[in-house]
Amino acid sequence: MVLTAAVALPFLVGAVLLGLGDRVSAPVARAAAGVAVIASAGLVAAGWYLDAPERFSWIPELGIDWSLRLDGLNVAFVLLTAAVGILIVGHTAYEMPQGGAPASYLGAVLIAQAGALTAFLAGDALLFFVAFEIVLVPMWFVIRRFGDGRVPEVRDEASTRFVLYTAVGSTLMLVGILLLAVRAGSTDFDRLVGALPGQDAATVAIVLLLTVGLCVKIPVFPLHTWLPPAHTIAPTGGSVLLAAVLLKLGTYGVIRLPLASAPDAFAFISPWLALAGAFAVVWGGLICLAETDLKRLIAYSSVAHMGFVALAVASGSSLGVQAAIYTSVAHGIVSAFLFILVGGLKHRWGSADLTVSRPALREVSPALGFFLVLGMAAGMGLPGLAVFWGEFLTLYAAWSPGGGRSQVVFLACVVVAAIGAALGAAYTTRVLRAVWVGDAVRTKTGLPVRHDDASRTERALLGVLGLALVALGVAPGILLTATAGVGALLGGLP
Amino acid sequence: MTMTAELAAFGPAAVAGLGAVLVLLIDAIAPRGRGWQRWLGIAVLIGALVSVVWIPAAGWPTATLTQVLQSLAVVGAVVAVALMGREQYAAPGGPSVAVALVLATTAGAASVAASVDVVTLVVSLELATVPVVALVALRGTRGAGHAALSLLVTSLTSFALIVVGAALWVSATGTVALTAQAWQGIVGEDTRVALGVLAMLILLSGIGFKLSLMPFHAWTPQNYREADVGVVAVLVTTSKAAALAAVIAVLRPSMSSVLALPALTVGLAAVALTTMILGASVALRQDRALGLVAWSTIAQAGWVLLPLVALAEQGAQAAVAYLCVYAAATVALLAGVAERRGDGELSAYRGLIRRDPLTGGAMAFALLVLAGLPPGVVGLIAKIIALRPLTTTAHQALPIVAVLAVMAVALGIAVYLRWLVILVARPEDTPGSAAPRAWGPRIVLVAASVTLVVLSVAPQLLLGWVR
Repeated sequence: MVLTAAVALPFLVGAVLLGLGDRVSAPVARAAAGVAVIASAGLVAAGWYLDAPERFSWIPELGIDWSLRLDGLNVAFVLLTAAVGILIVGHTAYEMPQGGAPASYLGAVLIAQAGALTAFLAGDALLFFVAFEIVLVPMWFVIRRFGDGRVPEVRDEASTRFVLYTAVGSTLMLVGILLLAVRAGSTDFDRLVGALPGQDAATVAIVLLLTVGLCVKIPVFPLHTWLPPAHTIAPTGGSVLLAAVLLKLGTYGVIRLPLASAPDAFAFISPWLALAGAFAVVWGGLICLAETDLKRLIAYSSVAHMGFVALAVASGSSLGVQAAIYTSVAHGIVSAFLFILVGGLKHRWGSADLTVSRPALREVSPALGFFLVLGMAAGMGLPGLAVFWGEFLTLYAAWSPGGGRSQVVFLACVVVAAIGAALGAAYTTRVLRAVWVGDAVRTKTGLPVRHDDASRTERALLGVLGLALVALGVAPGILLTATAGVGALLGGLP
Repeated sequence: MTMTAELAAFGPAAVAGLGAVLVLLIDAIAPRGRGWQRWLGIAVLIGALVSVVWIPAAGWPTATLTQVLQSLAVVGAVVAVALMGREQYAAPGGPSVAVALVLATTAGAASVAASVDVVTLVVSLELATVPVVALVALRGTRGAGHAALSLLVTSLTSFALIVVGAALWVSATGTVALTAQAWQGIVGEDTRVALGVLAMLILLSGIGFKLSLMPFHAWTPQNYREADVGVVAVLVTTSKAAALAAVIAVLRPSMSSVLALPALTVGLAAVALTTMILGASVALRQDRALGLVAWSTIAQAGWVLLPLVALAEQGAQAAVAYLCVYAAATVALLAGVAERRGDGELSAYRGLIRRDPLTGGAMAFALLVLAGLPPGVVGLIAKIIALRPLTTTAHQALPIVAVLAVMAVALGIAVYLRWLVILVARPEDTPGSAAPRAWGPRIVLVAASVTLVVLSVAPQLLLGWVR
């Protein structure tokens, strides 16, 4: 019951907050949401400690069980989701998104978080699908209602695009799950492991449906076009939730469904996935070199990072899965860090346009400047920070891909992705030069400079996230030990 | 099948039919009385619902679906009586005629659901259709007259088709019975099987109009816009239950057959996909509430037909469950529309969720169910069970149909989110005129929403019943 409570609590509190709307003041709503997310995180930790899977019959007619459990594959994602929930609620102490009642915003965020938690904890493919869909409407509401586009049409377009892309992806996945369930005779993840051996056309078609559907969510080039507008328009908390949690649902789904259930057929299509991933790394990096909106730039750097994740999953070895989880968690932390930071900068500047000359951040707000350097350095994969290990392990895993995969294709992908990673250094310097180094002369010439440095909330949030970046960068063993058993969970991967 | 079981299946139809006569009789004896017609009508319908339960379930494989569809028809009639507006009750003939017509169409629908031969089917279908034409026409407005005429012409054309189909069926199988045995008798004789398939296709094209399947859908938007909301509720529930019952009755002989029927499968799949995709596309362009409901109905009709493409009993169950979910959600929308009589434009619903949280919230939930998005979980489960039969049969082409249906999911979401955006938008500063509180719509609204919420938490309640 512990895990069920961990999911139900934020869902119920979120529903109540959403129902009450503007009849609740911001502090009360924040307090209620804070209690919910902290208690939920505590319950998740308790669930990990107790290690007791939960299972009740929900819809026997469809064979869907309400089954929640923690194992080496999902524990990192679950803890990340629980932690991000606390961060988002905490962040509202600095900036409450405009556009509606605070309780509505927090309610929608809590429901989305509860849905994502359920999806990660689910032990049944159809329950995973239902939970996957729970996230859609609250997230749509957050972007549509609290997004910061001044023109409603822009918000409308971004939010609708998000919903439609994701819904098409998830329905393709549903068809795949149904076909999988018929042939495997079950939707239970444990019984799906290795259920469809072989590379016959039907199995490949099922794997293709599942992979393409989930690649919309990850997102993998060229299915990523919903991401930049959604990230740019969403309020800071929404962007954090999107980048740190929702995208991971895609990665997790690819590991759990096509990779686990039909390893041979997945090996058949994985060169294409690897190529798309490697291409996305270069593509995202190139766009970041030219993008003038800082928030959009971070969004495209997400596309590049997700390219690494796709390459890691495609390599199909036990190490590849670990690398995918590592990159996902590291990206979750970095993107949360950068979106909170850039959200704060945008709040101060009024826009996130890099072409506008502004006083150097280093001079005006040294703490924010320091965080920016740290975040961008982590994003480009500097050794000693979390992302480095994700990218390093990915390239290492892709160097010797799992069985049945073309060595040549993967070697080419490694080379391309490594070049793409170098682009990260280029756009990082570009951003730092534009924002951090800045134009010292103009600073002195009486531009309307507001010397407001990082607020206490920002310092706390960015400090915690920064510590996590350093910790995972210095001691990758923390996460690698937790995920050490994935090979066995996936039916004995090499 | 025993004789008693067959007779008991017509019990609800008999109760509703006798109730219609009773209403007219009392009106003839005491024409002065007022207001009793609604209550008598509801009492008769409750009686019909009780008699549904009496249908013996044992020894008759189709009994459950018959019971579910008859219940849907009867409950839909109760909704209609509650939603019909003052104008409809004040139409020529007064409330007695309105209530009697609703009861008559219910009798027809319940009878269709019990039919197992083409003759009963044809007669019952007409009994289910003609009173609706009258209900639309009685409203008396010019638009309603045109709509009724269009419905009448469509139903007459369809009647002709159905009669031809029935005749072909008899000449193909040598019997009027729509049973597996009748079909088994001709398996192996290629000409007769071809003739039988042709008969099914013609019968289905005749019935298709009632389910608003393309290309027989044209009457739908016109009637939804012009008719009274209560009459639209009849079209959404009772009439649809009759239509689906007829489609299942026609397809049932082929369901137990091992024979692959590519013509039938491809034909049904093409109709289902066209209907759901074009219906949703046109619904995207609607600016009036009832116009959107009408085109959404057309799109959803494609979804109701989709699981039947598999020509399996599981598909029939899925179609019935899907129809129940669709009907409950659409009735909730209609109740919301009925509360705000005259406000046909979608923009009139701007900010409704703030101004009137109960109505706005119920309508928002209904829209999410129709879109198949959680928290409207039951709508999502309905989509799952509609797609599932396509994946469980051996037919190779069916998964492709399922993938094409994915397009329709996205279109449908776009349609319903458009209205949802308006519902959750910030209300304009001008204080909107408070809608007069009518009890009928409000009770229907609450009942339909409670049903949807309960089913979202426990979808098994519906799925277990339909099985």
